[in-house]
Amino acid sequence: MIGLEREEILSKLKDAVVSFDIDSAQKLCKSALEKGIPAYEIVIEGMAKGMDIVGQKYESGEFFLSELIMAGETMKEGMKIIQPHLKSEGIEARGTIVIGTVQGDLHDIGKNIVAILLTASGFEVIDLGFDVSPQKFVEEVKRSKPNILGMSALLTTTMVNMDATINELKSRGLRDQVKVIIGGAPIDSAYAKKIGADAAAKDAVEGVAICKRWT
Amino acid sequence: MWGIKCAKNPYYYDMVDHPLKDATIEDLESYPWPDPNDQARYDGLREDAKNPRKGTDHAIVADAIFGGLFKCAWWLRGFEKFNVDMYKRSDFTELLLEKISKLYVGFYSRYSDAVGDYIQMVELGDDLGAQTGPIISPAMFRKYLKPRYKKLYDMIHSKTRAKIFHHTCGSVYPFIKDLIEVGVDVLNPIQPLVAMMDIGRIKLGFGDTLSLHGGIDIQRALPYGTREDVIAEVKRVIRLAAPNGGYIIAGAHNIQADTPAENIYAMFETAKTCGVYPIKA
Repeated sequence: MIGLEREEILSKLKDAVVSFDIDSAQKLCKSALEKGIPAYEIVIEGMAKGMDIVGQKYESGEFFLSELIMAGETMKEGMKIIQPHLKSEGIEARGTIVIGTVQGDLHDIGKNIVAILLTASGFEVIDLGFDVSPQKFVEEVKRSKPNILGMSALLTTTMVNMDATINELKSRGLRDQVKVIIGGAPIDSAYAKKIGADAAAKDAVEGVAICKRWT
Repeated sequence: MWGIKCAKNPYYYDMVDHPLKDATIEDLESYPWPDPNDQARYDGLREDAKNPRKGTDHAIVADAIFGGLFKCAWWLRGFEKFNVDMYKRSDFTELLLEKISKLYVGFYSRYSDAVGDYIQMVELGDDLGAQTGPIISPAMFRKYLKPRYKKLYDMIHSKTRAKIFHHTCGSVYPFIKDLIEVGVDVLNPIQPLVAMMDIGRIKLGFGDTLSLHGGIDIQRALPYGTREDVIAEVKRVIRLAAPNGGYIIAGAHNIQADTPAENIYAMFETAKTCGVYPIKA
């Protein structure tokens, strides 16, 4: 396969993610594999470049949350085709993140969007869902030894459980083994500093960028 | 509600399961939708509405169905799935929203007939925003929701002199002009710490055709500020939003359970002292 053909397929794949064309993304992923393009390149040079553009459009105000979700879903469908080939190429996940909405809080839209974008960025995501107790977070950190723990909360009344979870990590001697990132409507960097989290993300795009810098 | 499974945890009911998560178009037709013509919903309403109005100069606000067209759609389908529906299953989306819209129009038609003479404001809503921006793109809003809001709000306006109060959480600046166009008279809650929702800017841009309700910060000043911080915050919002009419003083959403009682008292005390019309610029 000549270089031009490779460039064309990857460019079209990038465009498919930006335009949320799930059908095209699936067809182009299959076509790219058939033409012998390594799975890793299909992700990094094709779909992930599309997600980068989507992230920039979101930050500039051209795209909104619904477009983030659509792009994430498009890449997720592409990744279903590519994932088995990544494993056979010996490509490992970029990192592992345990994520969840804190105890007492059932809101998970933001957390779900972050999970989709992190999966699309090559992370292994262990999503514990919502209403996750400090103990459950910490048990999972102990079990799966992730690079990052991510916690989400919508309410000022539930975000206190982020503090409780970090304290539980400390009391179990696990705090130094994992980076902690927090997010949600009432969260800011001042609160992250106060409770000893490593970072606060104002939105999903920033959250993913921080996780990428850490891995 | 409507088959949507909710859990209470600990102060609110939140959705934990979506009954139409795997639905086809055929399933939408056969779903057991509530009946807006069930007379039991309206028995006694008119008599109840008469009493609060007697002997008071307070405005009477009607607050009936919880939710909204968009909100009910994604409660039934799941948020991510409904987003994909809007982009990829246009026929399904149109039918789902028509089913919900028909319920709202049917209900509010009978409701307005029953209580419309006695109320000054009808509180409706539909959450369109989050902390950093809208949760639906303006294009999708204008395609699917705007015409349906217009139909509902025009109908209510035709049956009562009550003002239409529209609640939407979060950052919704891109939709304000559209909401005015569909008949919204009062916008709530104008959360000050979310993107683009500076109440002074909104008052300047839309204050001649839109009244504002809310605006006082309940995410930081009220729960975590000192008494002086709260007083300053209330005075700030009055200064920006109240001049020349069109502001109803309130917290920018529910006052949360972790708010000190003294701060709540300071908020209302300042409102009574500084927030009674006439207020000039």
